[in-house]
Amino acid sequence: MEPLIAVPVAGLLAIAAVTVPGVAFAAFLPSRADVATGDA
Amino acid sequence: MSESPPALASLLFVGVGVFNATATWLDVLLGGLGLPDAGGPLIALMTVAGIAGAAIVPGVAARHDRRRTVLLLTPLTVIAAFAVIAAGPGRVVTAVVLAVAGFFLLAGLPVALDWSEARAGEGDAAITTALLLLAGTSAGWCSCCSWSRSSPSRSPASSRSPP
Repeated sequence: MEPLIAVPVAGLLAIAAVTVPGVAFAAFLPSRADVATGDA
Repeated sequence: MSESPPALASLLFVGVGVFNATATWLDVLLGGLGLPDAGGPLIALMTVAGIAGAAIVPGVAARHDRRRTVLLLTPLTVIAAFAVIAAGPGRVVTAVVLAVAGFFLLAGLPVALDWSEARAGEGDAAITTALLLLAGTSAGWCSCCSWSRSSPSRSPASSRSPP
């Protein structure tokens, strides 16, 4: 892969990579949103 | 307060940051992949698709209590979308993929806010929403400023040649 092409590919893959923790954060969410907690 | 807001705030930090990073850098990145001047129209397409997603998805997710599924699907969709775009599939496929990614990415914000209100209750809804939006806005600031500082020669403003 030529360096001129590798830079934008790396940039796009970097955006994909920083999204990966989002999957983990979403996995931490409980299965149901409308479970009464606190003053609900 | 429940355990949801920290996870939702982290999720919005990622989601809003990714959208802002995409809006900032897509033109430069696609230009390097042989699609010069495609970034602007594709960002507009992504945003319009996202507006449609924000109008459609939250109601469906709430009605079927599938908010968590949507919030899990959103980052997975974005990861897959940018992996496909990085392969250089061409203008049409890139447009379709970005539209799908935008549809879910922008829909994630109202789904997360809806979740926070349902989870935190009426008494904590306002402060929870404020914290979530602060987390998302912080991500936008971080992604744009830090990346611009780290790569000043490839920032969008400096990449455009004078007429």
